[in-house]
Parts: sequence; structure tokens; C-alpha cells
Amino acid sequence: MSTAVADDLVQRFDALLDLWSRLATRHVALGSACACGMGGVSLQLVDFELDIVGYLEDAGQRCGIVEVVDFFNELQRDEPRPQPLVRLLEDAQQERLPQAVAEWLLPKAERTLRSFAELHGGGMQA
Amino acid sequence: MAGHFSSLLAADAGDSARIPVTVLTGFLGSGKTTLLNRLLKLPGLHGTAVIVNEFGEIGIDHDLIAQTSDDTVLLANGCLCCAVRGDLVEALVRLAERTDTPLRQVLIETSGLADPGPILRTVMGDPAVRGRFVLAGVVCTVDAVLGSGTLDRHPESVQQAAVADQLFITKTDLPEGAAALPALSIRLREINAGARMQTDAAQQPAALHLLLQPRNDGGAVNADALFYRPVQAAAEVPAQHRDGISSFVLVRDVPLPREAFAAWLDMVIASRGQDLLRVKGLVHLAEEPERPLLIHGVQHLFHPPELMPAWPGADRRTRIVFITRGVDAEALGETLDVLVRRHLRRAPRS
Repeated sequence: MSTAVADDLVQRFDALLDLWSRLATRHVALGSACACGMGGVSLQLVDFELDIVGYLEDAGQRCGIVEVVDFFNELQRDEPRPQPLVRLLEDAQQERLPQAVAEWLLPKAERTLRSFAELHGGGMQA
Repeated sequence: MAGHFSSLLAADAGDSARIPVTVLTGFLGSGKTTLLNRLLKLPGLHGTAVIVNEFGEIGIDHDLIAQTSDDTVLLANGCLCCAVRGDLVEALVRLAERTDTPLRQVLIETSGLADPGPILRTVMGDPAVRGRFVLAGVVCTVDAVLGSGTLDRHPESVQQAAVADQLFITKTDLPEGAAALPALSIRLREINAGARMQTDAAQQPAALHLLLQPRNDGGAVNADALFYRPVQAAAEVPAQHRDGISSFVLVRDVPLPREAFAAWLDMVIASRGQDLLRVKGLVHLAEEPERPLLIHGVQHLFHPPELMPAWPGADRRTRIVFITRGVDAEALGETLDVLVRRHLRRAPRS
């Protein structure tokens, strides 16, 4: 991998980590702002970390790139870790992922996290 | 999670014989009252209540009206007319409790300067109203001659057009109106691609009359409903309109787990409810393959979702029309897919 490409990947994963750190602990009140009688229930995006990693994992296992498929198969076999999304992004940002995995993961992760940012942050972007 | 939509989904949808409410909106001078007057001359309006939300603006021919109280008038053709001075909720409840004339349907004419959102939210969300009434549709009149300029200058008029199920273009019989119609049609399609457009002024009273009628179809999905129109028509228009309003259709081929769909919609409502101008759709739930779930919301309030008896045709895909202020279609789809994946991961494996 050329230095320029690697730097670009690192910078973009860094931006994703920054975006997620700003989003993850936000509370979203479910229904408390309306007159429908509901209220008091809220969620945090950090609760979705496992789901997002699982979603990326599914896509990776179906992508047909051997290195990526192998990586996510192994990830799925690993013991569940706390904050799995943050750890995955940190691994990518610190260049601990195989190049093919990082290159495949980056646009997928950007799309997914920015979708959550779009909903929860009203378009907040990295 | 137990957000607004989940709670509605878990609750009994209640009496299915709710009284349909049609909302007639449109900017000042766009021809609402003219249309209303023409409608009121048609036969077959017995049991129809007309609510006008600004008494001073009402232009009903007073020869047709016999006053029965300070704020309720009985039209010569048997139509009740209630001029709302204050509370729409009070007016609807009062109408529902009348025993002298059985109430069959309600038409609300909004103020020309009003964002119709609060009225729609009242019908859909007020506890005293939502069990008795159901929003049947929204008609918006648009002046063919002045419409484009009005849309440029008055954000309220864009809101009115955006939430409509049917757009009635008025004054098309004038030469200036006919000339302006093509450009106006394109502009309105950008704002609300899913709305049916009625450009023949002569047909508009009858079309409104038809819309008012209570459905007598045993609960089947209305094939003319917004969500049942060809998906392609909505997908062809630009995603984002210059007024910041966009309409798009979210389509899913694969049936959606009920819990995942409800959790996703809870999240969308909680996060961007104020930007959801209208949401209507048929949802294919994995647990109910033969019965589409009909959903309908305005901003952060939704009608109790209804499981319909059958699909309206061979197409059983989930199709949800969103008319929004700046909500990204891709973001909605992507987050739905994550939530669906969450449910599948948690489902017990056989």
C-alpha cells in the first residue's frame, strides 16, 4: 500500500472514530416530546455498536474478497468484546487490519455511521 | 425500546369504524372556498360536517346556510358546518357526539396561511380524536396563475403542497393559467411526487366528493392510495427539492421482522419526527405475510397501524412514501437494514 493511500485510510478512519465518539453517547428520547402519552424511554447509539458490527460482518462475509471474508469469519468466532465498533475502527485507524479489509471496510463503515449521524445528528458529518 | 410507533403497534387499533376526515388546504386565494362552495352544491352530502378554521374567512353562500347555533350551521343539503373559533378538538368531539344527524364524514378547510401540520397532528394524535376519527386524505388547491410565485415567497404554501394526497390546480381555464401549468406541474412534482394531480377544474368538486366518502370496501387497501402508486414515478424526480423538501419511496423486497421495523420507526420518529411531513406505506411484516401493515404518520404522530385483510395486488414489497424536510433516503434505508440485522441476530436459531 502506498504511503498516500495508507495516510488517507488512517485519516478517514480517524474521522469516523471522531464522528462515532460524538454520536455514541447521545440520548434519543423515544416519544417523550409529543402529546401521545409516551415518554421516559431513551436510547443511546452506543447500544447499536454490536448491531453495526454485525451488519458490517454480514456484508463482509458475503463480499467475495477472500481476505475480507476470512477476517470477518474470524471476528465472528472471537469472544464478544465491549465497544466492538470502536475497537474495529481503532484497529483500522492504527493500521492493524489487513489492507484489503481496511479498504473494503472504510466506505461501508462511512456509509453506515453517517446514516446514523444523519438521523441522530440532523446531518452531523465527520 | 418502546417508542411512539411500538406502543401503537402493541395497542389495539380500536374501532375500525372511525369517521373519515379530509383536510382541504391551499394558500390564500388559491380557490379553496370556491371549491368548497361547488362541492356543497352537490347532492349526497348528508352527514358531512364541514369545519372551517377561520370563521371570518368562510365564503359559503349564505343562502345555503341555516344557522343552528353560534358555531354550527346546517346547510340546506343536510351538511353540518362548524366554524372553529378555537379548539379543533372540541369541535370534532362535539360533532362526534351529536345525535340528531349521524356523522358520516368531515371536511376541514384550513386557513390559507396555515401550515396544515398541526391540524393533521390533531386528527392523528389527540387522544380525544384519534379513536373516533381517521385522516382520510389531504387536498391542496394551487392557483395555476399565481402558484409558482406563491411557492417562491411563502414557505407555508410549500408545506401545504408537500403534505397533500391530491393537488387540485385551479384557474387552469384562464389563458394565463393554462400557459403556466406545465412549469407549475414540474415544480409540484419536485415537492410532492406521489400526489395525484387534478388539473380539470370542472372535475374537482366531484373528485373531492369522492375522496370524502367513507370507504365501503371491507377494509381493503385503497388502490389509489399514495403508497400504491407506481414506485418509479416517485423515484424519477430529483431527491432534493430547492425548498428543502424531498419525497422518496423506501422499498424492501424482503419481509421485515415486526420488532425490528417498529424499533427502527421509533428511532426515526424520535430523531427526525419534526422533519417527517408525511409518511404513508404498506409494510410486509415477516410475521404477517398475507396482511400488509398500513402505516400513516405526520411528523412525530402516527395513526395506529392497521393490518389490512389482504394485499391490493401481486406486489408484496414494503413500500413507504416519505415526504420530508431534509431527511436522507439512504440513511433511512441503511439504518433500517442495521435494525433488521439486529433482530435476525437475536432470533433463536433452529
